[in-house]
Amino acid sequence: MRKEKEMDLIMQKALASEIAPDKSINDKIIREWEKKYLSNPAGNPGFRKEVKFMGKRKIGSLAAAAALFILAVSSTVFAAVKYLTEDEIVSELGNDAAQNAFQGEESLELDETLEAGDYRFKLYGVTTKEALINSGFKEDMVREGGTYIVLSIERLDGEPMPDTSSDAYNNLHFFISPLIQGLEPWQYNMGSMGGAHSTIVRGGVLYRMIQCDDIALFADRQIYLCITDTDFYETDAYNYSESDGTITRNEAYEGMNLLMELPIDPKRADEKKAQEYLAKLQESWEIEPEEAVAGENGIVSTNCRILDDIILKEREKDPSITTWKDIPLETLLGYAELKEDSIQEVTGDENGVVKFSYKDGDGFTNEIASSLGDDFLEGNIDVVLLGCAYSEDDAEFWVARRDENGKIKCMLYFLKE
Amino acid sequence: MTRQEFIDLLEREGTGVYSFCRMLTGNKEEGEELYQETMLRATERYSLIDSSQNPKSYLISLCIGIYKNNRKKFARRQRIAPVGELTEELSCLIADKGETPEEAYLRREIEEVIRLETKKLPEHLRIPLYLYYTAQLSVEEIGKMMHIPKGTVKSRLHRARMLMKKKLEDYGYEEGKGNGSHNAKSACF
Repeated sequence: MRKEKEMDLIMQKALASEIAPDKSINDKIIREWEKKYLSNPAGNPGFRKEVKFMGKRKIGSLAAAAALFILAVSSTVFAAVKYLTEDEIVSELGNDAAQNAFQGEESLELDETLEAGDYRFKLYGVTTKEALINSGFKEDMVREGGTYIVLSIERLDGEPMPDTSSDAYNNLHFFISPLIQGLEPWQYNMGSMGGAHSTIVRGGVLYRMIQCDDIALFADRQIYLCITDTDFYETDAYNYSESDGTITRNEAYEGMNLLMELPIDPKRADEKKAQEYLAKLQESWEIEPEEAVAGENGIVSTNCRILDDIILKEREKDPSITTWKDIPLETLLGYAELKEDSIQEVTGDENGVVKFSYKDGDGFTNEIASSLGDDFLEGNIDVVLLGCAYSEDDAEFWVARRDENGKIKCMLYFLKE
Repeated sequence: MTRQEFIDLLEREGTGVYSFCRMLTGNKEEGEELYQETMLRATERYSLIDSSQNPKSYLISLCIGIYKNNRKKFARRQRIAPVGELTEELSCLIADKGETPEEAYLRREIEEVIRLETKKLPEHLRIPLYLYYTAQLSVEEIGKMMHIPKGTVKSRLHRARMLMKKKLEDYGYEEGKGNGSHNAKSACF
C-alpha cells in the first residue's frame, strides 16, 4: 500500500507546477486597469487616482465655472488671474447663469495662497452641487450631493503651465484631495470618496475644480486639503495621529506636501448621514458574500447530502426553512450524535472567546477558538453554535452549553450518513 | 494604487495566482478570465493588500471568492472545455532529472490521473488541495482563509490524498505489483 507521505510527494509533483501568464495576458490586464481606473478614480479606493485626461474631457461648463467663480467671488483673486477675461469665460461657458455659481449661502469663499517647489497654489473656494445647480449647471451632476473645490496652479518662474492636451501636461503630477480628521488619509481621500477633477489652462494658469462626495457632512471635524506632486496619495507625506485623528505634514518628507485647513461651517455637519455614508463606503470595499440561491427543491444546498436531507425534512414542517441555519439549533443537534469524549469545560476570555480541541475521526486534533456571542454572554441563551464544518457525507457542529451551575462546556456533535 | 504598483503586483504575484486559477478552473480560457478578474478586483481593495502580511494569500482568497460567486458559469463552461489541455501543458513543464524515458512517461501518466481526478473532487476537498499544493499556502493560512480549524484542513487534505490514492489504485497504478504496462515503472513513486 502506498503510504501517505508518498502520496504527498506524488500530489506535490502533479499539482505544484507554476504556469506563468503570457505577457499578452498581463498587458491586456494593464490595459483594462487603465481603462477602468484612470477614468474612474472612485473605483480605486486603494486610493488615489486623479483623472489626468479629464482636463480634455470635461472642459465644459464645470471647468469654466471654476474660472468664473474666480471672477465672481474676489476682486483680489481676479487680479491674480490676469490672463483670463470675462468674455473668454462666458463664451466658453455659454451660460450666463453661471456667473452666480459659488455664491450660494453654503459656498465658502477662500483666498489662500501657498507656494511649494516651482508652483503657486491659490485656493478660491468650496461649494456644493446644489449651489452649482441653482446657478444653472446641469452637466456632470449625476451624483447625489458632493463638494466642489476650486484652485489655480501657476509656475513661480512665470512660465506658462502646459496645456491639457500636451504631453507636458501628462507629465505633470498633482494629487489634490480633501482629508478628514479621524479618517485614515490613505484610505479616505479623493480616490475612494467619489473623486474626479476638471482642468482648464488659460493664460498659462491652470484652473482645477475638484469634486468628491459631500465632505461637509464631516464639518464638525477638521477638514484638510492636501497637495502633493504625486499621482496618488503619498503615505509618507503626512502624519496621521491615531489618538486624535489629526493630520499633519511630515516635515522630513522631501517632496511637496502642502496641507491647508478648509474652514467649512461646522453647522453643515451631519453625524448620522456621515456614519451612513461611511458604512456605505466601507461596504463597497467588502468582498461580496457568496450568493445563496435556493434550488428547485426550495433549499440552499450545502453539498452535504445528510444535511440537505435534514433541511428538506424540516422544511416540510416549516416552509420558511431554506438553509440549515434556519433550523432551530436543538432540532438540528437532535439529528446528530454527541461525541461524549469531546466535552470540555472552558472559560471565556475577556472578549468572550473560548477555545477547545478534539480529535476527529482521522486522528487529527482540531482546535476551535470562537466567540460565545452577546446573547450567550448576557444569559439570554444557554446553548450556542460556535461553528461547523461539513463535507459531502458528514458534518460536525461545535457547540457551547451552560449547565445549571453556570459552567460552560464545549462539545462536538457529529452527523454522518 | 498607481499603475506601476499594479504592474509590480502582476510581476510579483502573477505566476502564483495564475497557476492557481488555471488549476481551479481546469482550463486556460476560464483560468485567464479568473486571473484577470482577480487582479483587477485586487486594485479596488489595495489597502487590504497593503496591510496584509501575505499579499499572495489575500489574492488567492479573493480569487476563490470570485470563483465561488461565478461557479455556475465556470461549471457550465467546464463541461464543454477540453479536459486534457491543462495536463498536457503541465506535463511538458515538469521534468525530473535522472529519469529514464519510461519513468518519465509513467510519472506523467500518474500526474495526469491526479490532475484529472482532483478536478472531480468535491469543492471542500479540492480547494484546500489546490491551496496547499498549487498555491503552496500553509495549513494555517488555508484555515484562516477558509474559516476552518487547522485540524479540519489537515483532515481534508488527508481525505483528499486517500481518495487520490484509491483512484490511482483503481487505474491500476499499484506500488510494487504487476499492473500490465505499468508494472516495470511503478517503483518510481
